[in-house]
Amino acid sequence: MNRYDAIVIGAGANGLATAALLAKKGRRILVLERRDVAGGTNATEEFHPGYRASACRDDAGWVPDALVRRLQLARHGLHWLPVTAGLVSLTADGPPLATYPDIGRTVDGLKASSAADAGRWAAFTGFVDRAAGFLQAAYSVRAPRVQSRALGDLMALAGLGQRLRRLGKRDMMEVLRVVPMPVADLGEEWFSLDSLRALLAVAGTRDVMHGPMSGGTALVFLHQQVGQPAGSIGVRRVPRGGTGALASAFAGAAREMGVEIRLGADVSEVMVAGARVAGVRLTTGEELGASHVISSADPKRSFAWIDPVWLDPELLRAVDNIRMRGSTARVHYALEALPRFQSGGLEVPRDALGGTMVLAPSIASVERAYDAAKFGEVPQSPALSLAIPTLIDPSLAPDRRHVLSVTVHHVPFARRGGWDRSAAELLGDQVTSMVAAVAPDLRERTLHRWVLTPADLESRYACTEGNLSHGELALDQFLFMRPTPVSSRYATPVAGFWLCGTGSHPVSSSGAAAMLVTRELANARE
Amino acid sequence: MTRSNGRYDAIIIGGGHNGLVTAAYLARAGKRVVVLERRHLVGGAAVTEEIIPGFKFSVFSYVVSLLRPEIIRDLSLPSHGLEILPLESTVTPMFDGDYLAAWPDADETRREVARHSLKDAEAYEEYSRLMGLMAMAVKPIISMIPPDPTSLSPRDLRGLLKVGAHFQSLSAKHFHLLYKLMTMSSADFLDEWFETDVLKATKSASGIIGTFMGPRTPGSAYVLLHHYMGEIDGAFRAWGFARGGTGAISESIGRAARSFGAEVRLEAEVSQVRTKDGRATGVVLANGDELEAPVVVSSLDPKRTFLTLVSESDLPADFVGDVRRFKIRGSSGKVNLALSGLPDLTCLPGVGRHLRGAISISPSLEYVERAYDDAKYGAFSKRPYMDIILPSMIDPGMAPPGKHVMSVFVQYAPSTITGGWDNLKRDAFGNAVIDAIAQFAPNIRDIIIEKQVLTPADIERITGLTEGNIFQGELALHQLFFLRPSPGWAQYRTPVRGLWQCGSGTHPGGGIMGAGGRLAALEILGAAS
Repeated sequence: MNRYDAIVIGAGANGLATAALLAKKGRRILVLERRDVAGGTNATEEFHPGYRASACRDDAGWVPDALVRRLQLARHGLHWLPVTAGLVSLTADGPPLATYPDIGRTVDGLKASSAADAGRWAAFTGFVDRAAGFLQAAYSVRAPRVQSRALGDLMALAGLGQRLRRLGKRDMMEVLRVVPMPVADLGEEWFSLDSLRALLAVAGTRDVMHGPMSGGTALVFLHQQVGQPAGSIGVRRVPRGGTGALASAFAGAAREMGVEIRLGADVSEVMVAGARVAGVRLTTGEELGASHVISSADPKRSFAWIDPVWLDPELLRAVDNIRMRGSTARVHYALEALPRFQSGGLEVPRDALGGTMVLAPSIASVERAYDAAKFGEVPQSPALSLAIPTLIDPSLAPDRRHVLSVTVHHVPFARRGGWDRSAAELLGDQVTSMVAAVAPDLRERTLHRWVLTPADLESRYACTEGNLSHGELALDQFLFMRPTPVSSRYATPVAGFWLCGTGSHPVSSSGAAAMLVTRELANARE
Repeated sequence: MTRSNGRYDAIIIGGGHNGLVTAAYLARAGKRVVVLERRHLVGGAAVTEEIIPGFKFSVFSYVVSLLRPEIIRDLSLPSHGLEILPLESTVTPMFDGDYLAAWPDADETRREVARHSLKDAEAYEEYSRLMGLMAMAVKPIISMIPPDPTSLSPRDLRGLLKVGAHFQSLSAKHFHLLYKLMTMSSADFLDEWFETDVLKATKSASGIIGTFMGPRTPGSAYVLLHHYMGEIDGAFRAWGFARGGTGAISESIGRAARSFGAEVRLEAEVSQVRTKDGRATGVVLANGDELEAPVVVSSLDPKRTFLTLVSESDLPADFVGDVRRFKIRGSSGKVNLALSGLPDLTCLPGVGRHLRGAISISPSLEYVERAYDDAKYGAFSKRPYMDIILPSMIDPGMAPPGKHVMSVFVQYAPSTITGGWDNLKRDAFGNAVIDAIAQFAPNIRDIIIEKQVLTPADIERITGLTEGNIFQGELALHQLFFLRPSPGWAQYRTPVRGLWQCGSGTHPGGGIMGAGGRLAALEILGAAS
């Protein structure tokens, strides 16, 4: 008799949310975490005494309301903080260009640079809200099966079709047209300012080895808008305590339901007996029995735990073919004081500093960075996204001190010559001088710098190639194709072995798959 | 035929292959039809011209693979002079002096691939079989009028159900493969199959022809399939060369149209579509003549049709916006050479059967991708991708005895070159092309008698194709099927009643395919009955 009904691999937000929901249904659940801290890619980490950073990402992402309510996350410490600005463009020669959650405020600011673009902003956010709303509907149900003749599948497809039709003829066509488009074309269709277009280009190429001129990047942009309030473009969703607080809230909920969380427990094998999951073996040799094993690790890692004799070669080939080309690096700074940020010689207003400051002057500059990355080179001028989380959440640093977190886009995992510490620090120096161009006193204010290359992200957070999405978001790795067609509804061909991570539909690192997974598990048991 | 002053049932603007196909089908159904062609010969971008005395060039489009077999049958094109000669091989010279070849004999090709990689040779067979199946799987979609997914009309719902039922009829494996082809980049798609770089480069090249995409741009795998479609059906060998050049194809369609009673007027440039109360009533010619007809069909690209021939006040503002943002990005140029002898390839010296096929300058994926990178920022490729054929090796009538013509399709030459195209840039572009050929065929400079260099600006000036784009609009996922050329107007109709469109800018797109021309004619006849 197994002590556990199910073992969940990985104590990131997805694993913990799935564990908590299953435990709430009365299942005995064990969560195994390789590291000594929970949180996965959402972990908030102390990188210098007294200074903490959301290590991998600044935006905790969309957490479905129903999940927040079901697990009473607020009671478990989840508290969202107000963020004063969305995306803010800083350039060498132009004034800061800021977008805010408030449409009117954004429009007023844009007027100084382009009356035409200011005039289009409200309509643009309206379209984005409606398109993202449709994606949210698709993300709230399991991946559709286009080919299925089962009544349930047909009804679900009809439901999505109906949701699309509700947009009206014009918007429905627009959504269908825009989703496969390059984000560069989307930006050019709406706006004339290079810097404004570039803001979209950077968002549309996050965590994918594509440039803004590549088809499907408009989807990457819209994906990040799912769950955003009306009118908000690229506004970070920040829990008090950093992204780790989201994982902590899930962990709190899980523990309350009786979930056991074991840290420092590294899985070496998922055991199969008679074509059915029997449990897991740890690197220590310890064996833990369970009739269900649910992995929040990326699909390549997850399937590698299974003895290949149990897997169809076609599936292995499909898993091998999943593109997860890491393309993001992170650089964190511990600062003794807030540097002065400027754009085109003008000081960046305080509330804009609270947004995500983007260093990318044009679509072409972002595309050129990708050109280098696709051939395995670190770009000379990669696009940077800067966040100062301490302006919103002072608890992350000592009094009046600050943290600056930089996302470096288009840094190839597959760097020619590979990654080592000196290559990492070279990247760090490059980022420091780029940021110093808009914050000249950055160097004097810096107490400590922490560089995470794609190779570091891979080894530290166990995501293959350092790809934080566990598989690039692209049309051919989306919905019923994600992570592979046969495992797109979380079940795998090995009975009892399930997936619940970011590599599965709906590409969420914040627990959005959890409710869908538990529903599928419940259906499978009946 | 003395109908020139009488009324017509239909006026076709443009005597390219699609316009002629529409004319032929309408005339065959008994309609009085006139085709108005701006130039002194029919064909549009499918013409043969003797630019240099004695040397016949397929000036623009140079091979045929996609021409719909039903059109060849319905219009009895062989009896009107169409003869397709096979173009059997493709040779890709490599930098190290080796080459990769695909020969007409499948076994020989497999052995050739095996010379580079045993694994790839094994995959090759399965790949070819599946691509054949995929091409079959999209065939019904190519031959149907795109349903409007926003419409609830019984006809559109039936069309949608037909598409749905078609996809359901595919096995799961084939459906997912087709989906991948529709959405992936050709390089990523080929990475899943092969390891030999030069093989992937050469295959991926057919995914970029005519588009402003690189092998790593998602969406290019579909174009690969688009070009694959020709290789499957009909009595003709797929990739071929028309005896007499591509102009012979247009001429055979023109003869078919005339045989059904259609009139073809040359040097008759249309300057305006006349409308009354939101209805097309006829056209005005550049010389001031007016012709009337209740049906006007434009085979021109959407921008030329709606932004120059039709008054903006006759069109809904949304529609005009949609046409403006339709992407017609010229990306290719053409160099035609009159040669005193044959090129001598370093990798395959001397005269051989490889000169009767295509020579692909695509030595590596990186080579082709970097060619694209140059173009993205407004420059022609310093080291371009090229598809080369020697038509005179297949049809000796194309050049004087002992002499040859060489057709060089070149990518990338962006229509949006920084500062615009001029004579200096054209010369530099031509030189870059010759330099790139000389890398693999060093004797090329010694045998050139004369050359014709065509930039996208030249292609636009001569043929009227906006930005010189050979497909009348990028074959990108967001510009296909019910979105081509613009949402809500993919069924050959336009917002102006009586005005129709039938060019490559409509579903299913470009190449010497004729499908748009045929479907438009069927739709017009359906509406009339």
